[in-house]
Amino acid sequence: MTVTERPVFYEAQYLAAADLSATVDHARLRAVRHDRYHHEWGIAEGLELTGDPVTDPATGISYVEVTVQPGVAIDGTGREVVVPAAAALQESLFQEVNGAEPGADGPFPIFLAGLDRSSATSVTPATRVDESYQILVGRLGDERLVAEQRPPEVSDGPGDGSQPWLILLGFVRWQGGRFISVEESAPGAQRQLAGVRAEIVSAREGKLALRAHPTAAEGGPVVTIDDTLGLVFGKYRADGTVDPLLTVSPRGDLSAQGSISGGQSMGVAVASGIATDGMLLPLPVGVRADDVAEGSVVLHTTVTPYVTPQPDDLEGLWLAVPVVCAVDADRRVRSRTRWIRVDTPGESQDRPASANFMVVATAVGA
Amino acid sequence: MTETIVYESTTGHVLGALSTPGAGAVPTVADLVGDGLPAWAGVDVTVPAERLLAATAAPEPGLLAAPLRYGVETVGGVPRSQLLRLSTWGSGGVTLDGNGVTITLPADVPDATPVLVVVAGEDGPVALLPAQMKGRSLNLRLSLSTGAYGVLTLVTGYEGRLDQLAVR
Repeated sequence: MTVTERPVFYEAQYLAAADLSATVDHARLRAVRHDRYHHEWGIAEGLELTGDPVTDPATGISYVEVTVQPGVAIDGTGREVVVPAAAALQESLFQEVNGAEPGADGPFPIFLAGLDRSSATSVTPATRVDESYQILVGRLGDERLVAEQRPPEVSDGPGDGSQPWLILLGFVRWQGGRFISVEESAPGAQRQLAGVRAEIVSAREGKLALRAHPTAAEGGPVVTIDDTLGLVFGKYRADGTVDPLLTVSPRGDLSAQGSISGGQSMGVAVASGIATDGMLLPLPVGVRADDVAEGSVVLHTTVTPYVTPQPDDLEGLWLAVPVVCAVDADRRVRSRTRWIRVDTPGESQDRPASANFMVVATAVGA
Repeated sequence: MTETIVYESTTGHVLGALSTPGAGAVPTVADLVGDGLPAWAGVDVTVPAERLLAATAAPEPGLLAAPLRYGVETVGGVPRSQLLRLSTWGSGGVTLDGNGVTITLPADVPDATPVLVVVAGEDGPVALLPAQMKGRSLNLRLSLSTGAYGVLTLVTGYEGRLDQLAVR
């Protein structure tokens, strides 16, 4: 029977063992392919590696008793691996692999893998298979083997444990013939949690949530996509609603409770105001002088004369005419006004003046 | 609007101002003026950045029109946001000749009143003269050749002056 064949039956058919097995296998293989290709393999629930401190009453030496907590994982073959009850990690298992005195205290990786066993309740020939598990102790550095595993072919079924698919549970340290500590990760190696493979994730009723923890605990971060609110990043309130911190409305308006930095990501940023003669125009918030110097941000500046009343130290009637109102390459404003006396011809004074300015920063390519 | 000012560290005169919407951290002097702040008196008379400080100030209607008319008062080394409206020179003034600069005030000032005079010519900076004065008059000796000069005069308590003067 091929992997795409589905058993069918007819009235009064004699059912052979193969027919019944095909029925089970069809459903099992379908589930395996779903788990293998619709999900990223890894730990789905539990399976923490814990260490309970113990002191030997005879010697006074402290050590830990290591336990694999109950849980579920999906391995890279699509096989579900269930640890239904807490399982102690035997020191003898460690010594079989690394010896009683391995020369270094660790960290030594601890793996979980699926294993088919003959069921204790089955008769001969076997009529049941226990889809069980095995706990494996690695040697120093064996955690690298996890990344080297390759998934089976599409037509292959789940692994039976004869070639274990290693699921890293954590690390132990060993000293004096005992486990002395448990560690969740080591440099470059950590527990892989199960994930989802998808190009489209859609909500059923207009609101989709993505959060960092299984429960919607107060203060926990969450991203929602909502028909009315748009895209929202926020934190859960005690009543389960979301306190929005960053929102993109359905029509594209962006609002943020915190500051926004990074001028290039903004596309366009603006600074405006009034500057007196000789001052450097400020850069818009988030734009660095280095970005401008490197050419990744282009500035567009506009200055116009800032009109002021006639200075009170000028007697008579005076008329103001801008002489200079410009910005140099250093963003320095130069602004001068010529005051011309109109009630007594021939008298004038040039004085420094202020300028209205606008600086528009545009990220190149934005 | 936020008024950001640049002021001379010894005399307290406001030399430049920036009025921008919103609030934020006070920019550095380098952000505001670079190496120095040029004041125009026929030629550029530049006060170097190391003599300047930056602060925010309460809005003043005439600040952007004539910043030199305002001064900063410090309390315990901290500038007060409310600017001082400085005294006018009235009958006083600044004169220049081949031997230096003479400052004449309309009234006496107390001992050790800070003064800064910056002189520039058509070829660039000529002199930066920090001083202290008492009474109504101060002569700062400086050898000047014939020509046109720009002079920035800062006397604590009095409006800052930008004069276009000549030595004949």
